[in-house]
Amino acid sequence: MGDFLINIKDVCGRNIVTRDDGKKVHDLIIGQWKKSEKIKIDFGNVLIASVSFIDEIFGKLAFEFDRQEVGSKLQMLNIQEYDRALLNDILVSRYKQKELENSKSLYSTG
Amino acid sequence: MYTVKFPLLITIRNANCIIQRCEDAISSNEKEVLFDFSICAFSDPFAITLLVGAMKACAAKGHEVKFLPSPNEKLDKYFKSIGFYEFGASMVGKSRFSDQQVELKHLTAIDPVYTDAVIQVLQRILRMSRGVRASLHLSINELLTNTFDHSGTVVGCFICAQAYKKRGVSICLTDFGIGILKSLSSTKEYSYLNNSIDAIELAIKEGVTSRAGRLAGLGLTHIHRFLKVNEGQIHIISGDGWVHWNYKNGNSVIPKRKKLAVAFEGTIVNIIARADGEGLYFLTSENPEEQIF
Repeated sequence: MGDFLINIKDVCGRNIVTRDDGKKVHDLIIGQWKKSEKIKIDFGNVLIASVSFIDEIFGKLAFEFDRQEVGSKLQMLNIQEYDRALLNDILVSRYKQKELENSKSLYSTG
Repeated sequence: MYTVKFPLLITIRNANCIIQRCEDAISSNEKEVLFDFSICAFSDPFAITLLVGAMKACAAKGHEVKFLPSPNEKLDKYFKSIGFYEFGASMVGKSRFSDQQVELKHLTAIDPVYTDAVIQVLQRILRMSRGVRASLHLSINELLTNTFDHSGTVVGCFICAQAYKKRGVSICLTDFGIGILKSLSSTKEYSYLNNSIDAIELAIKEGVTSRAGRLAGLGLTHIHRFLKVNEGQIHIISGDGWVHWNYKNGNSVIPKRKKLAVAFEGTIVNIIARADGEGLYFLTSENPEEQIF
């Protein structure tokens, strides 16, 4: 298995704000998840600063894969410091939400 | 002719009276509506986006919209320079962005080019840190995303910003959509909501969204988190509810809640942020081990 490179600019152009924009990248990541050893995402040093866009790409992954798998499978390239902080913040928030939902369903079935 | 006269200061402090006058103008049965600015001396982004939306709504109803300009040269010049009298339409052939002025814009879809341009103009005036700049960028993105995802607006929205050397930045977005109460109460989860103030306060909480069963509900929460550490302010007006958070004196502030005399058909979000300081730290986790990338 080789690595797969996703260039945000090539996939989205300047449309890097909405959930629909982010879904294009998310779908690409999901399509490559089992086929590629590592998925590299190149932000091209462009500021994203969109919760919706980043949440749609990465927040969803928190509900599909554990944090270790997400951390080892994905590599961020040329990402601005602000977007890295935003990405981590969203992921932490979505993993907490997942834990909460899991514990709720444990109580309700227990 | 129906004349709607505005006060000396057309700002968010006078929201109750300005909204009432705009709604009266829209519902007037007269053929001509005169927007009278003859005693006005100052206007903020809140009033600009609301007035231009009201003027456009009057025009859409078949009224002929006329203006009595302000004798205050500075205000009149400002209105002209931002495209106020063109209802926020693109001013083709004219300079759209001057060095010091952010153009008023009528948007029918998210426009990343406009957002970039707004940030550049604010930056030229205020020289903000990267963090504040990015946080304002995020705020505009989330306001626009919320509008086009949830408001159900068919005429789009109006957005305007001003930079003040001493007071920072004011950004306002006004839409004439269904409002927050209708948007949230249309979902099963929040169908119990029955007043605008509760709906506004709920909308800023993490995970609250009208996108039933889908991932969402972080945008307004992030704007709030930024404004808390920035010691800024946010006003949200929707329906007959008006909630104002002012974090100038710390982040444990109790919001001010007001019921408007006349309900506003849509949503207005007005942000006031300090331009100094650093805007990145609101995203920094207390526990660095939690960071994944």
